Amino acid sequence: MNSSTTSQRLVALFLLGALAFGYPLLSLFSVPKLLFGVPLLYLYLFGTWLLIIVCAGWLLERDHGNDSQTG
Amino acid sequence: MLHDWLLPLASFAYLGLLFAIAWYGDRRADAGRSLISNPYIYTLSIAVYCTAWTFYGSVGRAAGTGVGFLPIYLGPTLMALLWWFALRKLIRISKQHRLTSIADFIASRYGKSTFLGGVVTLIAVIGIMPYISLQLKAVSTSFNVLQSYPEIVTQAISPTVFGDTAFYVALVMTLFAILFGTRHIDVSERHEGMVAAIAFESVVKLLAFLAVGLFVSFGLFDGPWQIFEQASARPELQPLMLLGDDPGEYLDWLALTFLAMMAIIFLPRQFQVAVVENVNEEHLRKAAWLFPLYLLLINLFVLPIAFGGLLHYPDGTVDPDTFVLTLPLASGHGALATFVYLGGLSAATGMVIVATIALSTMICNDLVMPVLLRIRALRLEQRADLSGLLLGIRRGSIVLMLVLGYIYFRLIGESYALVSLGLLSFAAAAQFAPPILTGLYWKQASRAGALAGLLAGFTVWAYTLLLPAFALSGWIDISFVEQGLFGIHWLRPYALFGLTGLAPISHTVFWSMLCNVGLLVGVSLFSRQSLIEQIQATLFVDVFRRESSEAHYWGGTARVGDLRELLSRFLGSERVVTVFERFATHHGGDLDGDDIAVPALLNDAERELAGAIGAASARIMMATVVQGEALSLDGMLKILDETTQVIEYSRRLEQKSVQLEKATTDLQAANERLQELDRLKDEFVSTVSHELRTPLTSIRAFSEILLGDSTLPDDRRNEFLGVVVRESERLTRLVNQVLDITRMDAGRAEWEYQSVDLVAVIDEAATTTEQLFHEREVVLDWVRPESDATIEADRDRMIQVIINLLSNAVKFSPQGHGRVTVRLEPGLRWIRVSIADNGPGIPPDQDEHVFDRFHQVVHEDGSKPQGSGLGLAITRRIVEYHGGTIAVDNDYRDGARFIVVLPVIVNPPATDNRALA
Repeated sequence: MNSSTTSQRLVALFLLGALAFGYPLLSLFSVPKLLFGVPLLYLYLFGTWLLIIVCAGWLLERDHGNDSQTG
Repeated sequence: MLHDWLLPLASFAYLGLLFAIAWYGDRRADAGRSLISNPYIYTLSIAVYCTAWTFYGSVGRAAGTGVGFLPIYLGPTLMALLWWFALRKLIRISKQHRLTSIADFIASRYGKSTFLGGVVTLIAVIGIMPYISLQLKAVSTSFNVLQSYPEIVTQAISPTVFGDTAFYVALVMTLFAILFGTRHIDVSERHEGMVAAIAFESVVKLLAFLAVGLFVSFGLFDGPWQIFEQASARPELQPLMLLGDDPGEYLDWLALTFLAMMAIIFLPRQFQVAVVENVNEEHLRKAAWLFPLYLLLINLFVLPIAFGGLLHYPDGTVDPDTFVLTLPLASGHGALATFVYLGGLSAATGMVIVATIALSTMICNDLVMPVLLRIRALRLEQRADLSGLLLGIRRGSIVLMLVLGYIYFRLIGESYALVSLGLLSFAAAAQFAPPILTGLYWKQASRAGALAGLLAGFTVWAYTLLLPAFALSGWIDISFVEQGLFGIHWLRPYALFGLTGLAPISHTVFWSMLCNVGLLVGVSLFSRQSLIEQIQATLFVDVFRRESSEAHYWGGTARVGDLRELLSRFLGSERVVTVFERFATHHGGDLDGDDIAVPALLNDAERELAGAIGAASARIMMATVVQGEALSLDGMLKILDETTQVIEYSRRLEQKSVQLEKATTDLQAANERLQELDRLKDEFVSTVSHELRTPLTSIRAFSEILLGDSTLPDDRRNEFLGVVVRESERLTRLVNQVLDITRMDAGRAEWEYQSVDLVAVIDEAATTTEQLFHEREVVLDWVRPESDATIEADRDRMIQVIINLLSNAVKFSPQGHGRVTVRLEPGLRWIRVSIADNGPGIPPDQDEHVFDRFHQVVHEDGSKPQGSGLGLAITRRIVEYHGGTIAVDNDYRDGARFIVVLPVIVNPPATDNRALA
């Protein structure tokens, strides 16, 4: 896998993230309900946030060292 | 409740510790063992993004709007996903061109324009002012809260400057920033020690915030869930757990996310740590996911603390911005509160140090120096050492920045929450995004476009955010906010052109971005780029396509000595020695003062200078030592053109010289041939004379005998007369042959072609030479073909050919048992005649020479056969004149065999005019 593929996957993840953190998806979770004692909206936001970080870390680290030279 | 002296002491002790870390970091950097060259320090340094705003303001914002604080961190998280794609390019370009600030970057991208750099600097300074005042406000508020607890401080600003905590905070921070950023005489763009200290601060503020978060969640309450459950029971807190139903709220959310996305790269301090201080672009790989993780962690307890605070102080007497301090204090945890205070101090000082250093570099390189360099009266270019001046300007800028921040704080700080102050700066920094991002990927983006966009965006920002802020604080007549400028309704700053329904910040983002991007693109499409703009645009956009910027602008020449002098004025002489040594080892060769600097050295020098005083100023300074024109793209193109032409020209020259060489060789060959012919002619004459003399001598001798001796008996007399007659005949024959061959060589021979039956010709020749065969007792074996062999030929000459070959064969056949074989093999187009003898044969090396005139084969026994030596030469000429060939058969081992091949239809050679050949 080369760097350009990584870039493309990251851009796709960016688009997904922008979608997840925007209207109207966000409005679906804007309901007065607690899950595990935490408001659903908070849970959704922090959960998605963590998920994006994990995905980004996985994408960036998996080809580490293989192609550090390619521009 | 805390001792009066304890807090200032803790503050100074902490700042002292930071300073020690910075000092150690610089020492390590000087020793070549960089402390900061790893992705973790890099990530932590980027976390300078989290300032006092995050530390105190997030909780305040959460207490007011619920998740409304989050876009400020979700934006950077999303942007970090694009870092590998975009920030890496920024870093690569900045490293290649030694760009030291955002102003430098924009100025350099758009044709090293000093004016553009100045504009960017002004926008940055004015735009960041609220941000610095935010830090002052946060630190002084936190200080006052701690000092005066349990008394609740409501008035952050004291009436007099000297009674004002924020003033002392500003003073200390000024000193600290000066000590940090401009300690070195070396004014290079990187500050390793500072980065190390910032990274340390990032750890402290994260730990402090987590500590207070854990304390509130698990110390004051039984876990965050309990906080949320209690809060959800309170109807007035319910809306904080939701987003509004109004689509406008989602637009505000979107606008904040966008602003934060831009801010994470284009705030001057973020550019400083992420781009300028970057050691290795590979570090981005880790930072792109570790930094978002840092953001997540520092925000994890914002909501529990906010709700905890709201539950704890239901009456709203405590400013939510101070919850992180008041909650521990309220339960008697003074030590924790102090730790939190230090965390907040970390967040604030980190921001102030980096921001002022970044801005002071910009003010110095892109605002002050270009002006000073242009004022001829100062004669700056003649000052010996300017690095002191540079440092002075930078220190002055830092003071100016904090003074401005403090003034701003005094003017309007009180009436704004922390986050609102910060967002003001975010919106200003976002103006840099269009010129940089389009500049990275779109070559046509022009200086005029960038300038127009920036000015328009900034004007909109100032009009719709900054001025109303002053107005709301009572410094400008509030009426212009409510009624619009000059009472014009559609010029209301919060509802420009009647646009309502958006929060002021979203409103500003929309209009300023519209103007900025619109003008940038529109003007770029309708303006012409200058040549230097085109060069820079290509170098920036295509940065990954070339190894290094090998475009040489400088067409003129400069002495190495002058260059060295120029550089040492700005960089200090020690640094210059290093630079020149590095160049010498890289490119080889000594750099003597009187030498003319090579273009690569000029480039290096300009880059080095750009690191110290900015790209635009560096260009101006270089122009003072480079004699002759600076090369434009036009010039570069011309050089390329010229090179192509020279290559073409030399290629043609080469062709010509090859042709000449060939002609010379031909001439030489011709000359040699001529000489050879001349020699042959001489030889011919002498041979002919020699050959003529032999019979003449014998005729003369016998004639003298006959004349002088009348007593000779008759038979003797007859015998002698016979000799005379024979020799005369021989003489005649010789002369005839000579005439013959000369005629043929000169092309004057007359040929009469007719149908000739070769069988008859051979018969006739055999009859003529019968006597000869008889004399030498040689048998003629004449193998007649079954068909007749008619060809077109000159009959008499053909007979001559056969006679010559037969008599030649007889001559070489051994007397007594000699045998000559004649064969005739007719073909459709060719007829082959072979005449073989059983004599000694012809040595292989003489194959060709036997046909030369007067050539006579000398055998190993040294005997020389008789004959004129012209027979075979004549034979060959006759055969060739008929278009045939004659050759010695190499394969024939029993003697000599001549093979004549004649065409059935005569095909005389094109040129009859053959020279003596």
